[in-house]
Amino acid sequence: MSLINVKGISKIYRSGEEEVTALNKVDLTIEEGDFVALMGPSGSGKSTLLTILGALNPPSQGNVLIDDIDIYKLPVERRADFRSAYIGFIFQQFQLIPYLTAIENVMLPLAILKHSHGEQLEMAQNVLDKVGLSNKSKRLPNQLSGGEQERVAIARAIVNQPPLVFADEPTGSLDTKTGDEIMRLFQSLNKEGLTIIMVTHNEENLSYAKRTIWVRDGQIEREHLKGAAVSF
Amino acid sequence: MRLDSIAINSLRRRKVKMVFMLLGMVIAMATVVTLFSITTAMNSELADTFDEIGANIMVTPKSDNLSLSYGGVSIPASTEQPAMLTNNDIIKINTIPNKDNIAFVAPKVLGLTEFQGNSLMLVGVDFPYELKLKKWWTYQGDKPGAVDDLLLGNKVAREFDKIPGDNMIIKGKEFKVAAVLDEQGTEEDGLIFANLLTAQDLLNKKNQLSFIEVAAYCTTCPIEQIISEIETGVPNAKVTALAEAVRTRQQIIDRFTNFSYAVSLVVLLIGALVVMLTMMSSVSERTSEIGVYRAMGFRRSNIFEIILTEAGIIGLVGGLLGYIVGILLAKTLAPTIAQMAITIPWNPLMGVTVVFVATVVGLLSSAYPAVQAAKLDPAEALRHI
Repeated sequence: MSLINVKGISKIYRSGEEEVTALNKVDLTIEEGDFVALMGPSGSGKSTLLTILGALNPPSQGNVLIDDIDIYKLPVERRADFRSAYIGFIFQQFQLIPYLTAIENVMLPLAILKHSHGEQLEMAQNVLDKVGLSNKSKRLPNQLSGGEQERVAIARAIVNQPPLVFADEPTGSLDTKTGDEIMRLFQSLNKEGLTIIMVTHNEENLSYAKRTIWVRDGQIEREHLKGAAVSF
Repeated sequence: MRLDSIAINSLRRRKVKMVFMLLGMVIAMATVVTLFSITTAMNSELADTFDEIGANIMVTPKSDNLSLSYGGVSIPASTEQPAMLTNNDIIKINTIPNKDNIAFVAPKVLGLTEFQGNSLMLVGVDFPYELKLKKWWTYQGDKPGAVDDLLLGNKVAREFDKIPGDNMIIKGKEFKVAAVLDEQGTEEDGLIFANLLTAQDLLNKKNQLSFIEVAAYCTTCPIEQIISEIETGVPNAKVTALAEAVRTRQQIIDRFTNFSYAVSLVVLLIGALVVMLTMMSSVSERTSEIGVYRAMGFRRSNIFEIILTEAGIIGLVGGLLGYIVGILLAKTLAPTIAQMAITIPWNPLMGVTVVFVATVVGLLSSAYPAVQAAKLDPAEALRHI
């Protein structure tokens, strides 16, 4: 069953007189439980595609349907509610809030939901257990290693059990060994049913994804399903 | 985790930023409190000092048929006995409900006497209060105070060639010229001042007073009320306010008060500007953080709430600290700045007002940065990552 349906989206950035087409009439379908890697050179449009799919960046034209909801037809604040309910984000450089401890960072997405403090703590502790960081929950981000920070960021993205997680260069700041551990964690979460869409430059990460989409010059150049021949 | 816990943790763990914002607010509020406390106390002290100089109320007997005068009060030249006040009226004035607002009561008896064949006006006064009331008086000789002391007007002293230390015999009684007034350029130059009781004896006006000058503190009590109370206490008297003295006093005090308000307002505006600039810089530094919140699904109102909660806390704590620091500063600096012995009290009402104003200033000055933060496009904010 398709979770995301992208129909003819384009994104044009205007800077004075100049127009830059970041995405050009992209069609895309992503199934529930998919693990998609978006590959492409810098400036290819993959990050723009990620923010558009993530309900953060309205396209200049076209529609994005997630769970049959045309997300850019939602008013701004309803779209924020949609992100809260459907989407978890993992950013480059982790983007943990520096003045909050690991568990407080994980609890952040719950701050705008109707959970009691006790429920929030339990949910956050559970996901920290899942990412193997329950013993460091009281530490501030600068007291954690890069890999540990990435795990906190993952825990934060999944704490309110969204069906969909977007990850932007999740291993970009990590060494190979830690990067592999993180990718295995993603793989394990995906096996539990989480749909993951990941932007990456690292070809080694592709082996963990079920599907790879190459983006170039604002268009989908080709894609590859794990275990299938490369399609153009 | 709630939105306010995010704000509190942001302040608690970003200590340098928090201290800077707090410092801005504390300095602004402390300066306002210090200035306000000192100027308010100075106002009161200045007003009291002003009230002690010269009389602002005149109590005279209800009488007509007047010809000779001093201080705007006339006495009859004829032998006809006019209505007089009595020594007892001094007590009545000193016991009115607003007696605490009475600074000095200076009774006087006036009468004609003769010296070496010349008619002179003798004024019986209570020297200690008279000298306090006439702070502008300067004289040569000793401070008069004894029952046989005289204070001669400059013209009288010159006319009869008298200097301090000389003797004068008036109506068979020997007096000592304790002092001679420097030239005043007023009718006082032609008067002889003597001890009140001695003058009453000499003028055959035992226990009688021609008029009473009163210096009243008008800061906490309208002068009209004091007048009304004296009129009730001394029904045979005519009580009038010296309008010019009261008006001048009020003008000076009002100018001083307006000046202190203006300075306080300027300082408050500068404080608000410091808080606003600090908040704007804080929001600007936190662009990516706000982008992360928005990506997580925080609404604009949630971002607005976080920023305003921080500002509210800064205002609340800054106001409280500013009040305490301001009062302590005022207590320390007041004697130097005001050059007078003034008392700075801990004023709970002022404390509550300062905390309230600081919180409102904190919220208002952060409203713009908070709106800017809430309006941040999440995709744009995340570009800062």
